[in-house]
Amino acid sequence: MNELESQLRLLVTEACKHPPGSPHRQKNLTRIIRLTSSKLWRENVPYYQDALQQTWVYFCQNICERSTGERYDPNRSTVITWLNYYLRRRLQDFYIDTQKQQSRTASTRVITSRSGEPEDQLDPIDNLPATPAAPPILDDVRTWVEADADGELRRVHVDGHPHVNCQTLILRRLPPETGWKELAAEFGLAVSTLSSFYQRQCLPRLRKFGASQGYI
Amino acid sequence: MTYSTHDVDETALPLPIVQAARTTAQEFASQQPTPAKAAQVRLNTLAVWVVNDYLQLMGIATNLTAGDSWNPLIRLCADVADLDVTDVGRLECRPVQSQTQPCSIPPDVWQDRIGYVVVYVDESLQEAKILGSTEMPSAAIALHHLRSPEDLIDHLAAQRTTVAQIDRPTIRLSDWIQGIVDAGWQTVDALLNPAQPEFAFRGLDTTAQSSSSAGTQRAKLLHFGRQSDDSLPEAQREVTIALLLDISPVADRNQPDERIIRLQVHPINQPYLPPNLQLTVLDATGIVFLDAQSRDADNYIQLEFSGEPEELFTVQVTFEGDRVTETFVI
Repeated sequence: MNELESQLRLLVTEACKHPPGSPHRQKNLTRIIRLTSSKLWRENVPYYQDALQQTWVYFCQNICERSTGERYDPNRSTVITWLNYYLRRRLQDFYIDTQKQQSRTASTRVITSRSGEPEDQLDPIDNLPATPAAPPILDDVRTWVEADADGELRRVHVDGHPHVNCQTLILRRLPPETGWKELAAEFGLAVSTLSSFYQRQCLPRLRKFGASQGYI
Repeated sequence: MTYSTHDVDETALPLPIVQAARTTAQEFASQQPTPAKAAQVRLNTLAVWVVNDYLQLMGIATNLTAGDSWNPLIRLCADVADLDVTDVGRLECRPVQSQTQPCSIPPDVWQDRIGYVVVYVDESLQEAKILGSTEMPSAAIALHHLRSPEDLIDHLAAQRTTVAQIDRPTIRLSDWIQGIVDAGWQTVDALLNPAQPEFAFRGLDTTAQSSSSAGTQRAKLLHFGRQSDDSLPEAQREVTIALLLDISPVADRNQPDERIIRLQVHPINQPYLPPNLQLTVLDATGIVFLDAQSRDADNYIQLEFSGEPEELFTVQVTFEGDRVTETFVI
């Protein structure tokens, strides 16, 4: 057994001494992920990261207890072998899925594929009309802030600085926004004073407006 | 040799970025009006997603969609990458694209966070690394000053304990205003007269005094044991203090619901408070937002803040490792 493997073996034993959800368990699982990550099977496919994430889920759930699969048995394989076995099975599943999807899209593919972009497939779903453009939130916010129907946004201001109010600050922070440092210099206030006011007074009012408009 | 720094790469935690994260990040980015804002939102979304995936792996409950980073209006108006950790608070997940440059933390998120996690996102947006975390925001943080992901686990666990401790019956200050007094709390007069007729809410300006008919004051005695010091005579081993709370409306008629809360800690039967007695106010998520500590020969210490009805806050008085906690609703 090499050094890494014996180290991993110790970490697994240590992790499993503590109940799931305990900081001891969590920290040892974290250490194992860090140490094994670079040793795992790699493939250059678009779904590799998803397969890897599923592998980590499987690892955390079955390393100490039988949960979604068989419990890891240190006498049968090293952690890395165990993880690689699972990872390659998931990669295979994704591969089969992709094949199925390609056969579904094959008929329309011919029409659109150009020689330079072989991977650019057309899914029938893509032919559905595009969803309407994102709601023009920016315009809505600007209109609401500028109108300030009940005068509240103008009224609520930084202590002793009536012109540094919610209305001014929100408008200046809408993209393309003026930087905090520039605003601080302009108003002669500390960045932290401005940003604290923005977080405490402006954001709650924006959240309220957003909720009233149904932006979720 | 320096002990305060470490090689980031040794403690970094590599994690995958799944396709759904990229799709969502792209969707959020496409709602932005400028390329710079779109790039910011894309990376913020990925950072939050990666930390969420990690905490899920660890069995730490989160609510991905509850934060400002998932609110289309707020992420447009502020540089936010927060993740709601259930029963703990908001964890800010800051993306970086370099493993050598300091991580900047925008002023937009300097408040109301239980911590800041720095997430490296590689150029292809395929792989990420949790580089570490810090509890204190600053404009720029050198990556080698970050604490390891393992420290983040401990920090979250500690925060959860604090929140659990303060998850106790709360005292409704609106009841006080109507004359109802909770157990242990008394009117300042009942508690302190006639023993200390000079005792009053100090530090209030005259205008506040004259309008004090609108304010309500209550006091409570707190006892701190000093068992550790056997050399002291019996009578001096226990420290008794009075915690006073005053709630009154703000003078500003534009904010009729806003209340001013004043907290004071006074010594009982002693001219001064013992040094290093700490008065702390925590917000609803358990984050410290005000803090005062007695020095040598302080008559009293005070904290003052304002809040709105239904807002929750917790007061802690700490002395020599002994702590009394009270939670209030305005």
